[in-house]
Amino acid sequence: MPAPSRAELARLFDDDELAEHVRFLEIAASWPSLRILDYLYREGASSTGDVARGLNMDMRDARDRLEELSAVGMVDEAEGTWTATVDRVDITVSRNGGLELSSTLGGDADAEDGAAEAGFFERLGRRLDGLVGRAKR
Amino acid sequence: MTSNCSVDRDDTANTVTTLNSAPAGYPAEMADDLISDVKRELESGGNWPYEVGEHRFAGNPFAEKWPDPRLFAGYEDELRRLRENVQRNVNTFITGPFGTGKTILTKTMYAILDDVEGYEPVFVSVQKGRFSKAMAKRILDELDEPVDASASQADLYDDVADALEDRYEDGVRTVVFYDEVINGSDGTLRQILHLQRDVENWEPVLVFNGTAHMLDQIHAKIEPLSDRIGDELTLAGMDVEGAIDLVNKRLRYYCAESEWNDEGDGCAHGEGALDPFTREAVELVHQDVTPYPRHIRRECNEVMEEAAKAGRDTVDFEFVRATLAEEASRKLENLSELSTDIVTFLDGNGPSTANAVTEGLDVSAYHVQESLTELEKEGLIRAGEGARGIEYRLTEQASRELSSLQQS
Repeated sequence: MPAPSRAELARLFDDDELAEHVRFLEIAASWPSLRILDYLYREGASSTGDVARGLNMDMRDARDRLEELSAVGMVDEAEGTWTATVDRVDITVSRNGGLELSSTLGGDADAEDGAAEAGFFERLGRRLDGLVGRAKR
Repeated sequence: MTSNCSVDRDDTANTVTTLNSAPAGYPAEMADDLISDVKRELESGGNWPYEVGEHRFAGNPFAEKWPDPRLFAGYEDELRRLRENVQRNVNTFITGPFGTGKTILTKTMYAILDDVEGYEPVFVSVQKGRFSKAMAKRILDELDEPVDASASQADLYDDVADALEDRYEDGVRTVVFYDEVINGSDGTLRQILHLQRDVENWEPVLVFNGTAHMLDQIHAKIEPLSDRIGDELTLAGMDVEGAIDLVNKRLRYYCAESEWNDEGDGCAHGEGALDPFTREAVELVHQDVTPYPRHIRRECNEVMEEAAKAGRDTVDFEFVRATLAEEASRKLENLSELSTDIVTFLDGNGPSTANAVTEGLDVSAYHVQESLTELEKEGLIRAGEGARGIEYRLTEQASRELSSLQQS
């Protein structure tokens, strides 16, 4: 099942930046993505068919997910094979007067630039609270 | 272009145009080429020839069943094992569901033996009923022996045995391929096998065809004679590399056959090249159908037809995906009542055996099997070995389309 589109999330949150973050999390941290990433780490460059057969997935689902991972910069395709382009994905959720999110792609933990995302879940939480509140009324 | 046509008027003043030979001095081959091309275009529905990149296909490379032994693909191990069995005089039963490639495997072996000195292969399609006169005549024909049309069935059988024995004495090894043996009665099967008893030191290679549900039946039929069975080759379908090989060989064969460039060799496909298909596209076809050569060829035939119609430069993953989706949707909408029930049953219950479907729908086993075979041919369900025997499940594509049809 594909992750919600960026446009879909942008409409929901009315915030492009927020939509981008949610989409990244949806794609990077979902179970199918982790399985695919695990496969690529173990097997190296692989075709869509190899990935699908190796993980017992439908090729359409595997291809869709690989394209999504490619869109967020985690894998790359060349001549019909997919390669993981990151050695490490760090996603940190912490408490800081609300939820704070940090994420890093690439594997260099010291170069973490997640601070810029601080307060992201706080903002998300506020929006969701608002939605729930309106629904209750 | 009227010089190669004549216009005749009949008594009722209707105009009749016929194609005549070209007049003297007219480059006849030009007109012939054009006429042949237009005729072929008409016959093919206007989509062919399909020119793509450095390739040209006069017709759909997947339309013909099996025009040439060189198109054999996918069962290399089985072909080698059959070769060993033939050399060792081991009776071999080749089994597997419809479309797995049993006949192609045996015809390939036949073509090979036909080309090897010291062997004389005979190919016989078994007909319904007892060991018939027609079958004996066919064997004698294949052996280039005279056939006495007025001879009795017993005499013809003796003629066959004599002919085989003569060959054995002359050092010629005769290998008889019996195709579609399932058609034969118990008596036919026994008589086929008794030929061995009547011709000393000679053993035919036998081919048994049958769907999964027929296999038990076949084994029951031949059990009393099972000591004469040396080996059983069961064909279960092609792996991805086999499918890639099948597609490559078809494309190369038909591209070369179109003899379209100045040198007349026409084909620029290298070993393993799949143009205009991408490898991913072929893999998707392989994933979606039960991977029997017949099913893969049929599906590629449909895809290639659509590609030619659309004049595609590449038949890629997305194109195949869209084509399969459209096709599955159309097929689901046109299913018979029983097939619809089966599809709905499999959707709700997951992979199921033919018996489970029969019990679940409370209909005759025969009709269920017929429908399952039909659905499998259409690429809507896929058969596979499961914990309880052969299980059928919806293909992913069928499942998706069924769900969107149900929603709409």
